[in-house]
Amino acid sequence: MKCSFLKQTVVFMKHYARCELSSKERFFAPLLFSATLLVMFNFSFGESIPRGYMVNIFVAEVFITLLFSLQLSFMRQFDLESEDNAFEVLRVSNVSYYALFLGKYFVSVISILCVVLPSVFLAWFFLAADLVDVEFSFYFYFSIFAALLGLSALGSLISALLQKLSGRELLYPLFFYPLGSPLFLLAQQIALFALEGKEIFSLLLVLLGLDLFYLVLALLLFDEIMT
Amino acid sequence: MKLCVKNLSFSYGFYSQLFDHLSFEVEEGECLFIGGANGSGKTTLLRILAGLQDFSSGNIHVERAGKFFSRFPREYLQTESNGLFCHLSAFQNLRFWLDTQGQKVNLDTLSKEACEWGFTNPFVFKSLAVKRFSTGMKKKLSLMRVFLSEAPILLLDEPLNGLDETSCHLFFKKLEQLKERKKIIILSSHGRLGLCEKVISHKLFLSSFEEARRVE
Repeated sequence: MKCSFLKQTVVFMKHYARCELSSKERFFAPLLFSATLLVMFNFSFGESIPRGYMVNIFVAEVFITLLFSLQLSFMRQFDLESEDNAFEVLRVSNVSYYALFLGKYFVSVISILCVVLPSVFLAWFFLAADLVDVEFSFYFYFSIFAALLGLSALGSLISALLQKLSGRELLYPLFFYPLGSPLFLLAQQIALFALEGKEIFSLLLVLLGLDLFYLVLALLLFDEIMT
Repeated sequence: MKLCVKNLSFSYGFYSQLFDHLSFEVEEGECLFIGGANGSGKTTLLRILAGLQDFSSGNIHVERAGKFFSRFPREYLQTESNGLFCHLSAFQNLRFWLDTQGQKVNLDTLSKEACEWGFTNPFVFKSLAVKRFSTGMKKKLSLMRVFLSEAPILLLDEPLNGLDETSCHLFFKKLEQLKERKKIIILSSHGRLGLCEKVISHKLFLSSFEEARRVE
């Protein structure tokens, strides 16, 4: 019996969603890490920041926190498959590797959003008194979401690539930071412009183009890794 | 349909030739037993057949209605691990593997199969995470995955490891049923053939390094 590509993608999505829900530490570890970082940032800054820089500080806090917590989250992407060598069974089975990757990717975007949104709220909470005049437009949240789309593809790919290596904790940042930084810097700039009320449409298109590029690249290379 | 292996050679470097010009054929409804001492290359041969390992030279293909296929559907039971998702229950694991193959999951069939393999407690089968299972229970679950699959070729590496007496008997019974369903079965073991003898169609003994190889 043959399973269609779309159906297989849905099967993988459901499966990985179930896995995420069954191992809650995979969600709580990056979330607690983000919260700790934000608390540390805000205690160390204290009252010393000039009011004019509050928006910059807010965006910087959010993105620096995300950078580190995303790495923590992405690095464990294929841990579930490694525990009992399910990765090899997947390689032997008659499944589409594209469907596998897309299923993992969609669940990864959703689970990381669950880490990102509380982190953004916490960052706002600490600086709320100084950000009352700032309008949080739809584009601010969309820039973060768009960054996640590309970074999730890259993160999942690097995680699969380094899955079998013993020194992956050391190697992961060496791959992730240089490759992810164009996307990350662009998204940070767009988020800042969105809060300052500047025109961002063309930059947003570039960001979405980069997302698409990372996703296609990740899909093609994932197939290579599996075969 | 038949699985053909022709002149298969594999070596770890220049000095350790594991097998050289190995050839055999297994037709549907047949079971090939691969025996041999530890380190003779049983697992390596099965990993090669599963497509998980490259080989030095030779050819592996499936012949069906006069056509040759180098890529073919198969199921592989590993010896050192079970390929399970440890945070999920036995039922969730089976449902996932069957869903990926597009096999419709019938809850009654699954429950009946589970009871046969000794998963009589619904809580253990449906709710308990696999990480809490014993070695034997994990192996049984892994065997259920392979036996329920509709893949025509089954590769079983040391399938009896960790199984109790009752489960071994059930395993042999299931093998006979699979043969009737025209599956190609290749299983390896370092010994303990016992009741397996009557379901085996061919035997292949691998000898370590330069010793002679014997095919019956």
